[in-house]
Amino acid sequence: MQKSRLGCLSPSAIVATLVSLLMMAGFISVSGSGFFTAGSLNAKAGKMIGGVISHAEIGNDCAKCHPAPWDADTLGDRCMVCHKNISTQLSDPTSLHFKLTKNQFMGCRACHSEHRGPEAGLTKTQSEDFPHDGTGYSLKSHMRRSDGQTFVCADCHGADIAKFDPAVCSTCHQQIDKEFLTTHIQAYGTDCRGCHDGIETISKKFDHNLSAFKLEDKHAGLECAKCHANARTAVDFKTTSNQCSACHIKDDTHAGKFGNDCGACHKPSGWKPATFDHNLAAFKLDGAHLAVTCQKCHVNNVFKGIPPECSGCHKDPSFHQGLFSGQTCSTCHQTLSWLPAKFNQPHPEPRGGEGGSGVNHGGATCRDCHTVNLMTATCIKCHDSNNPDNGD
Amino acid sequence: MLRDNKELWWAIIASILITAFYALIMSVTGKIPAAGELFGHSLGILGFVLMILTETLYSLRKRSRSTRWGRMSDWLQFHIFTGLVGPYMVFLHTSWKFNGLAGAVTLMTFVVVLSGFIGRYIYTRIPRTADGIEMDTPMGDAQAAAIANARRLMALWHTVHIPLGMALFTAAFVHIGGALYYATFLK
Repeated sequence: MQKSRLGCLSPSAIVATLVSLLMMAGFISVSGSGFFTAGSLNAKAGKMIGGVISHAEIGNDCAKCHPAPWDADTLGDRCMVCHKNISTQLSDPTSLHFKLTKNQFMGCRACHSEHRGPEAGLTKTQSEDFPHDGTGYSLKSHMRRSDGQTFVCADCHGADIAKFDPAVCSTCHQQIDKEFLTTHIQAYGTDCRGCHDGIETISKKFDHNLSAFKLEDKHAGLECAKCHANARTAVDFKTTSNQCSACHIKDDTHAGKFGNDCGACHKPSGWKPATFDHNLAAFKLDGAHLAVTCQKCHVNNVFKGIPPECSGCHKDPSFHQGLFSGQTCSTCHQTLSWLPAKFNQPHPEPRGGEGGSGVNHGGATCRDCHTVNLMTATCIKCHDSNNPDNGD
Repeated sequence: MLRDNKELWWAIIASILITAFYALIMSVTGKIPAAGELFGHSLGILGFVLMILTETLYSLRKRSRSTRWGRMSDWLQFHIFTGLVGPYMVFLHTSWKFNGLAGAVTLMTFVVVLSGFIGRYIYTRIPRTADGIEMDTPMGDAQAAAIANARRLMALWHTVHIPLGMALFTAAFVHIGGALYYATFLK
């Protein structure tokens, strides 16, 4: 059978629709908009607030709590109209309501629910429902107890959810690993909350290499307490010094003479081999200085304060006879070797000399003429006598 | 044709799968999925969409004079499948609370589904072509009287089932409006 009109447009369907609408309108006009609720309001009697002793007494006056979507106020605002003491607590730093809401926007409904029946509690006590992160401690790792049961508030807080005894941590965790907990408490104390925030940022899952101080080689296997020995709070851990000397001052065989920057010569793989780049110092090593042992210049492990002048190590030789007093060696000598030396100063006129013009005496070196010292001279290395001007 | 009950088996399989998923969510969260939370809300929305499809598609196909949209019996099977699975999802959406209008809508859904079951069995008593068109087949007086009786029942059933469905959808839309006003848009 083919029909052209939809069933929903048939007279009986239209009548059914209208009757349904009329019946619902009748319910609303007689009993109020409570008709829409899927659960009864809490009926536990308390002290009189806002003219009622329980939410159930508000009855079907839904607008008492529920603003219309286009109203300026919120459900939370309407809670505060009656619950003025909570409104005060929200600005009191010592109150739980302040602590829960200080770091994040949270409406009353985050913790409190309604329409769950006349006997149902108004605060969500199931730990997964409670925005515990707002207290600064996440329950992410405390969803299930070690026996598999869901945590309830009383497991940690006892009768008063606003209080917490740190001893609760050790009481439970001793049952999991007593030996570890004992040494851990010895190292860091009993204020677990000082470091642990419930999401394991300072425990097994913590990646130290994401911090400014990477743990490499021999540092990688160390216990936390080796470096963070006196840390008692998360801030203590974060402010532990990155300086090698903070831990290794006792290992310094240089008696502090190389300063605190161990990393300039040593690596985390071990104290040896150590490397030292002298050219990072003011006095660069080149020429014959490269082959000299440290002790030659740094006698008695004195590393600082060694004068960079040549005379700091090199005494004026008797060969000079004090003629160059006050001058630096490098005027004539190079670091490669003492000889050959280069003399570019005015030279006293040589015996039978060539106008007193200096050292250009047929390519002769200082020692060709001054075989003993500079105060004496001889010509016989090249000439037949010490008086070559006479034709000898 | 409907005699192989294929659509019923599909509906049972779908319902078992949905129930298994519901049980899994329950075991993970340790509580009954609330109507206003993600899973419970999704059940309600998807279930209602299936109910809307139940209400509209078969009705539109019946009034189409072209056969290019598929055989009427297939559409009826789809109508029955969505008409069972949709209400089942809506039933799970209730979180086992049946107060107020929401409870009334659940009751009306149950009544309409029950009415649909009755209609399905009256429908199969009337000889039809593969496309669902009623046939005039040679028969004895007793058989002719039985078929005539079935046709009268079918007509009566239509006058009850369709208004019941309309009352259900009217109440469901008011429930959705109330949920949007009091819960979804609640600040």
